[in-house]
This record gives sequence, C-alpha cells and structure tokens, in this order.
Amino acid sequence: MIRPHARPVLSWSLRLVGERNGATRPSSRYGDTDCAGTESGTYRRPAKHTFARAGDFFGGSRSLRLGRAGVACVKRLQYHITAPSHGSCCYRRPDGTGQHTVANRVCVAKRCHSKGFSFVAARGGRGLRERLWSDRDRLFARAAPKKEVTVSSGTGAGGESFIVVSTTAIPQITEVRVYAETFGHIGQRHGAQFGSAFTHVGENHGADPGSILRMPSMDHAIASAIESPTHIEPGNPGSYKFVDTTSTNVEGEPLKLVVKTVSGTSGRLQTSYFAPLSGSAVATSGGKGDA
Amino acid sequence: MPRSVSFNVTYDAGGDVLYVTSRIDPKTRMVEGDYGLVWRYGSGGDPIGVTIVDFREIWSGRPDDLARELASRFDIPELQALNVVEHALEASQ
Repeated sequence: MIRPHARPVLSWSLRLVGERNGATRPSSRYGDTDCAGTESGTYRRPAKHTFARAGDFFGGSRSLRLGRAGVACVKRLQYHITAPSHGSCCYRRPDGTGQHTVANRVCVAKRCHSKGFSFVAARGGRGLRERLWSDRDRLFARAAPKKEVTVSSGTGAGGESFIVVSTTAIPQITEVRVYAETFGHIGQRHGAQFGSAFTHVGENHGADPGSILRMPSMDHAIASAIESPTHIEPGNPGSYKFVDTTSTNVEGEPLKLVVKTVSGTSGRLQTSYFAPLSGSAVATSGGKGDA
Repeated sequence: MPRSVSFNVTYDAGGDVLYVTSRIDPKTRMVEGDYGLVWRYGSGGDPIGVTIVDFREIWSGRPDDLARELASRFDIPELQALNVVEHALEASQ
C-alpha cells in the first residue's frame, strides 16, 4: 500500500549527504537508482512533499500517473519509512530477480549514500530537519579539532620535515619542533600504545610535515600536550617531559612527550609514550592552558 | 639461566633516541627508569623493549653499564647485550 502522505524526508537527507560527500546530488534520487519495481498506479502528490522537484517523477502536478519505476520508488520510500534500518535505496532480493520486499532488503542503488541517515527516515518535517542538523554537527565535530593549536611547518638543513608548536608552559622552552622522522620512529616502536592509526604514520614518515597534522587524534594530542601540558616533569639534563593528563591510554596513563632543548628556548620532541605520572614535577597546571 | 633473544634496533639520530625491541605487543605498558631508559612490557608483564633517550649522550662512554642493564632486565647474557649496544653505537655514528 502506497502511503500518499509520506513525509518529505528524502530531499533533506540526500541534500545533506551530498554536502557531506562533496558531491552534487539531486533532491530526488528516483532517477539515480536502477529500481526494479513492477507495480503501477496513481499517486497523489502531497502538497508539502519536497523530495521531488519539477521534472522528477513527482514534480509539477498534484496528481500524476506514475510509471513502473515511479511507483516502485514510492514503494521504496514507504519501505524507507517503515523500515528505517536502511536508507533510501532500491531493494531487490539477493538474487536480483525479485521485487521490492522488506524481508530481503538488499540495496542495489548505483549510488547509495544514504545509509548513515536512514535512522531518521521515519521522522519528518521540522523534527527531522532538526535531528539531521544536529546529527550533522555531531558528525562533523568528530573530524574537527577539539581545540585550536597553532603550528607552523618547515624543513631542516638536512631536508627533514618538521612542524613547530609554540608553548608557554615553561620559560626554558618556547617552541618545540616535531620532526616527521621522529614521529615515524614513535609510530613504529611505540605505535602499539597509540593504536593502528598512529602506526600508519610510521609508514609515511619523512614524507610531509602536514601528514602529522592529518592524523585525526594523535596529531592533536601531541600538539596540544606541547602547547598546554598539565605537568612538566624533569628528564635527562636539558630535557623535559611534557605531560598531558587529559590524553590517556586505556589504563588512564597520561601522554608524555620528551622534549630536549636544542638551541636557546627551542626544543625538539625526542619521543612520546603513555606512562604513569612520576610524582616529581617541574611545573603543574590545574587546567589545560593555564600552565 | 640467561636465554638468547633477538632484538630489532632502530636509532633516531635527530632525537638521539635508540629503540630496542624484541617484539610488539598491542598492550604495551611503559615504565620509566633512570637515565632516560623507558622499559616496555608486554601484556604478560615480560619486558619486550626499551627506549633509550639521549642514547649517545649518556651511554656512548659507558656501554658496559647499559649492557648490564639490558642483560638483567631482559634476562639475556651480558655479552649479547653488549653486542647490541656496541652495534647500536657503531650504527649511530
């Protein structure tokens, strides 16, 4: 049974997906899928539907005769609404010969990008938009840095790539250079502590200082620990350990960066790892950024 | 009875850090020791590596001391540990 007053869900979700993927997509997907529907009938277009534009299957007319594909797509929309475990896809049986069924949902859409938004399919109108919008914020927030960390990059005399992170934690060190080579060693040898993503850097070390910053988590953790550590512990002569208790491993041990003064107040990251606090601190900060 | 263990040794010349690794364990725990030694332990509590900060600066003049540290921690013959240290010092020059 076709639901004539299905909520206008597709236009919104698809537009959002299109933005997310950086692709241009129509507000209606009906022309994009190789829909295998077989029914035909009359569909009354609800006045508030926005999932079809003029020229699409549902555009332009209050009531229009739909072709087979069009009805199938409406049916798909219905499935989309009643079975929100999947997106606005075209469904066939796994063998590819059947019609749309709820039981055998297999997406055969050529360009299906709707999976991530299917869970909101049963909602409509303002509530849907609000939920999509907030969800979009959450999705993009994952990729966005938690806090701005000012860095610059450069190349050493020997051609090594590095980034420079400024810090005001202790007067002895005002900037720390993080060399791609060092980052690679850390990734290779301490990578198990940091997870597979960090090990990946080890394979690319020496390529580009920006590659360090493209790391979604460790780049920011290390840069943030340099810029505003929560503790500074003494190291070997001329070295300091920048400790950030807000970045921890699963055991709750804080991230430690060993930084050695190289010239003046310029330091160099030697290595980093997670380890328990030593108890002896050169400086401590109650909150990040207060050091 | 001391046993024989093979090590993978890499040196970060710019940072003067030597990484000695017998094996990789996804649940590695690090324990900081003296003189820039950071011991790595596997999930079973066995030592699986050591990171030596300021390797040349601190240990180039006394490789025997470092060899003794490695031998006792990894339970390997002191001669093998000395071999590792001397090779690392050679390679880091």
